[in-house]
Amino acid sequence: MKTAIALVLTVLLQAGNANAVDGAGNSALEITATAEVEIKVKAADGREEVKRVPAAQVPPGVAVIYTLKAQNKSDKPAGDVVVTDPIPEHTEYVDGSVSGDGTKVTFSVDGGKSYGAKETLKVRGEDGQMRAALPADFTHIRWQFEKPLAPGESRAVSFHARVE
Amino acid sequence: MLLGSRVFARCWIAPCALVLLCLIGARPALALGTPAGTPIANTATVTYDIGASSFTQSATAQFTVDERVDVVVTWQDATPVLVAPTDVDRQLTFLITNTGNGNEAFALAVDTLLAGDQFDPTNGRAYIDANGTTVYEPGVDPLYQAGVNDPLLAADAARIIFVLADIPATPLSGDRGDAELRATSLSGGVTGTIVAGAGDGGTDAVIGGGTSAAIGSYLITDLFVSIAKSAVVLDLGGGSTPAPGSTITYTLLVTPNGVGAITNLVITDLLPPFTTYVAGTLTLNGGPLTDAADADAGDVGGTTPNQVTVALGNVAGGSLPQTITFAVTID
Repeated sequence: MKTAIALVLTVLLQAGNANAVDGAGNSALEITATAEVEIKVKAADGREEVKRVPAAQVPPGVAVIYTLKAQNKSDKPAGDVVVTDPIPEHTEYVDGSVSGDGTKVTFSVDGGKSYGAKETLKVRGEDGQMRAALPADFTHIRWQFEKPLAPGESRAVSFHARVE
Repeated sequence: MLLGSRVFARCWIAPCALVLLCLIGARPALALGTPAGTPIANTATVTYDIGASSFTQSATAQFTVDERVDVVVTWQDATPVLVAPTDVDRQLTFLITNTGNGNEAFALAVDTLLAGDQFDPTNGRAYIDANGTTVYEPGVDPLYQAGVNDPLLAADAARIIFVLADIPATPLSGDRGDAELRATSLSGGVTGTIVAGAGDGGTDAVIGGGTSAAIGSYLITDLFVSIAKSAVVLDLGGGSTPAPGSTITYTLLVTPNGVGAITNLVITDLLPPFTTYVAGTLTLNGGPLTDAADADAGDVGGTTPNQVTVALGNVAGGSLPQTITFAVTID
């Protein structure tokens, strides 16, 4: 053991995999969803570094990093790829945490019925007046891939959500 | 009846609409944290086309919410509790609040040997409030015994804890004596550690602030009020003979002594028998007061028949004496 783990989190990957098949019975995309947290690990020389480990148990107040990876296992390009991810109950989207190169990102504040650019979204405030949406108002995130996913290519999108 | 029914129906429309708006407008927010053991699953959906066919796939990531252990102790008395030397069983009031997200039991500790004060209270003990009152009730609120009745609090729950201590004979007026109440989670008190399996439902317990303490204070006071009463007699001939028709002017000199605050100080003085109050002669510090019981500080016969009543309110110990005067005639 060259490293001492300051913060011990049980490492248990609970990621789901699901594969669709086309009409010919061939796998198309391989989809992997992961939830991770960042922990501080103290190396033998005393330096601390931040490491990502799969999230199994997370206390309130900690941000979870959700990543969805799509890999094209087929020999044909996959077009119009759209990833839709609800922000889970008991968590709140961390402002500015969304990422996804080569994708157009939109948010929903109405449970996934409609999507729009973050700045354009409005919700009705407690005073009955419409106001700009806050990170806590977002219910879903959607990534639209700008280009088809070529055979063998994989791409990941992610966001952070804090446990309430 | 028909008209009445219509009005009734209309009244119901508005509240219904309001409720709907609230449901849409706000996601439910938990005051204090997601309960320990709650599973949080996230299922992402991917749609895509290959050739002319469309496909939908999904994948799920899941984790469980750990118990976060957090406790906050606060001292509830707004100001130091005023005591006198040799007092026994004097009460300080504390509140312990479980600010974590699970059920948690706490060990209590009282420390009266603190530095930075002028005397150490003795015989410090903790009593657990049994019924939500903020005053210690002997025989009702049990003595805290470690390991026997460690208070168990649900998430966000709070409990009043009384610290009782005795005051030694030696401190002087103005001396302060402190006592600390500390609550420490039985799951562990070291911030930043994780206790595997110690949380609710077998989750890990993450020690956020597993221990918390607050300090309360006693203040020795020699507060007392002294009243000096004097009388000047003026007879009808200009002399000072007390005879029927003579006027007696009384002066009450009220002096607040000691250190601290005297609250709700009221001075009363019964009119002597066989005398009659001279209307309009009541004064406080040289200013006239009306005889009626009204907005000003004093009255004669209004609050209590045949009595002078002057309410001085909250007065600081050691502040300047206050003078009350009134006159009577001898019947």
